[in-house]
Amino acid sequence: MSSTRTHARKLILGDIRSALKADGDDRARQFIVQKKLRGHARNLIPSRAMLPIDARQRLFQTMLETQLASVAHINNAEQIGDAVGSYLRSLNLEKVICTGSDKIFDAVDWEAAHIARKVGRATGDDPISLSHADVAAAETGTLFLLSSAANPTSLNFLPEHHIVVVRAVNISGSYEDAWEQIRKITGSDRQGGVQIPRTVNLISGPSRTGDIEQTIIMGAHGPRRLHVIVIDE
Amino acid sequence: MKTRSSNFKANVAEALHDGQLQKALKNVPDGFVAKRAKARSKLPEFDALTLEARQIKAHTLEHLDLYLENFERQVIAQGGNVHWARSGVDACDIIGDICQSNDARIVAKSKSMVTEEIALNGHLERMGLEVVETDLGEYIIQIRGETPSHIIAPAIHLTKEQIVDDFRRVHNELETDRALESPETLVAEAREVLRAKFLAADVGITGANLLVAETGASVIVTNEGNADLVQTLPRVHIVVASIEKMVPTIEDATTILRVLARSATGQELSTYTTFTNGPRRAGDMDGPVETHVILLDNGRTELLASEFHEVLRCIRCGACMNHCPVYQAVGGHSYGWVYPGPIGAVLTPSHVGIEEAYHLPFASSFCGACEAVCPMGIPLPKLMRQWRNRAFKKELTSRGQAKLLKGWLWLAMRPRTYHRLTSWGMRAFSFALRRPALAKWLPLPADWTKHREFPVPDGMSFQARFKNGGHRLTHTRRHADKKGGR
Repeated sequence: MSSTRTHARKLILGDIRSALKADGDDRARQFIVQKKLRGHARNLIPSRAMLPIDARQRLFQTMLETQLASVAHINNAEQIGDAVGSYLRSLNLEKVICTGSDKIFDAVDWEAAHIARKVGRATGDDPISLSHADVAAAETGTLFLLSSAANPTSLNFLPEHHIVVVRAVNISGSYEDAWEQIRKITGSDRQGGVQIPRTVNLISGPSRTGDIEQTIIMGAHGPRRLHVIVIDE
Repeated sequence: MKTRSSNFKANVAEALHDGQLQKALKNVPDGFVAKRAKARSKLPEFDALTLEARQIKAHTLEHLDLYLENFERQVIAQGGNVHWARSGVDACDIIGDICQSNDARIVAKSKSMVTEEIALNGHLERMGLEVVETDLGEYIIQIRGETPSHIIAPAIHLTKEQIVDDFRRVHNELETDRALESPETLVAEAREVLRAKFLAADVGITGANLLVAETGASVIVTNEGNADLVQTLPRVHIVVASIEKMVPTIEDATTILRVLARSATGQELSTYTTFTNGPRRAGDMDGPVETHVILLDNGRTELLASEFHEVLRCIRCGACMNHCPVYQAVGGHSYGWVYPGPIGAVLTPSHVGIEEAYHLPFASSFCGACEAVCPMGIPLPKLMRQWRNRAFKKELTSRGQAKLLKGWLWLAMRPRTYHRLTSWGMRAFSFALRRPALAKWLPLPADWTKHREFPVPDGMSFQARFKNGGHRLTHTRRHADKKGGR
């Protein structure tokens, strides 16, 4: 069986080359492709993604709110507990959250905030999750969540309420700037292969569907609500 | 999927008299069309981005072999598996084998047109697997035993009332007298039912909106988050993607994402856009343990070699069908195969043969709306015309039509005769149509004149006017200007 599959690979690549009247060993073509891949040059970036820092942070919030997420601000990471607590109180939710092992949450005094913190991935029974977005992009109010033990992917999708913490300084204007940060964080710029996290989730609001008569209804399969806490320091 | 494209005319007649369908289709112009226009107006760079997006795709297609090879290397380096499939049957076999070797019982799927194209669900069901579609629209049509009528809104042909009936029929473990009338309760019920399936599934299958050669990522966009549950919870994740989904870099993917959602639903960006790179890494607490990417040809290399190669730039946004007056009137099922609308009129003949799909490239007035809104600048009317040419060469055109066309050709090649005949014709036409009875009834377009009157020609052909130094033309325009100025 594996031989027919190797065969399929050869045939498909051969068909492409004969369609293009091109040669796989053609040095000039290989050079063009390698240059493009290594350079990963930027294309046109919309002007709204290149705003100065204050306007950029305002745009980030406006976009998220337009997409029916809520946004709160705190001064420093120590206030995360209070900010999460007041969100839970405002909706009369149980004070139990599920988070990954992200260091930013280890520094929080959860007891003082009267919140029980479970560390690990989410199961179908966890109603509220808390994640840390390493990066965000203002142009469409988009959070970039990088999978790891610090921020397991299931936290982003299984619970009814998803709370995400992001540092204001990490809010880029464009997707391109956000990806550049990710490349730096994960060391993928260095030679010897790409190390983008297993999953990068770009999240721009709570889950929704328009599949019934094009009416937008919230909470299709993912979280019904997305609450973003921006650390302004 | 079984083809019903050869029944296009009968399908259309049925669709036009289907009250429920006509009611549901009214949502297209108010929904997708209006929302796209708004999204476009909010991004001044939109048109410039579409130009870049199509250049990216054109460049990728010219170097597709090399980008595929790089993509494969990256996926393998991350611990994923890559399979190459020349046909839909091959792809189904590969996927079936993966399910079998993992002792899978339940397969959760997120919406994927390419798996419709290769009829994957039927294949897996015949193997005894339970296949669950998790996109709400796709779930609805699955329980109805239907196929999608739109590439991004598969249940767009249905009204809320129909869906209520289906949920009552299928979810019979729930209380029969429950309230279900609001869309909110329908969504909540589907969430409940499908959540159990997500958690029980052994294998998750998604398509891909894009493949990134640089990193080996497959990219998928949804608003529901269902694709993310499909590719996070089960032990095994399989991506099925046709080879033209490739883009070189993350930056290129970014440019295409900027035009995709805006063209499709009119959103700035889909709620969830996910870049996925292989299986669970050391320390990860979730994510699939085993991942596979199926690279599917199924006719793409043939298209690449043909005069239809531009269609491979398609990113399946659905803008062409949303803006098509024919689609808006007859809906997606009339087209009789997986891809409806103008893109379907170009793709279907290449998959099922022009003999079977003969009517589709003719189901267009060439108004050009599809090409105008296509973010990838695919010249859909030109490609449909090429199919018409092929049909003519294959002598599929009806005898009467063929004779008419040949007669026209004969005439068009003899300018003097042509001019004489048309100028006589014009005069006769003009004279005849001044009689109201005739304006309402013309022998050839009788179906057309049943609903409207034929406009009365001025009595002179363009050529005749031109010879007159445009005398009457200028006169009329001056007259119109005066009127407008008042």
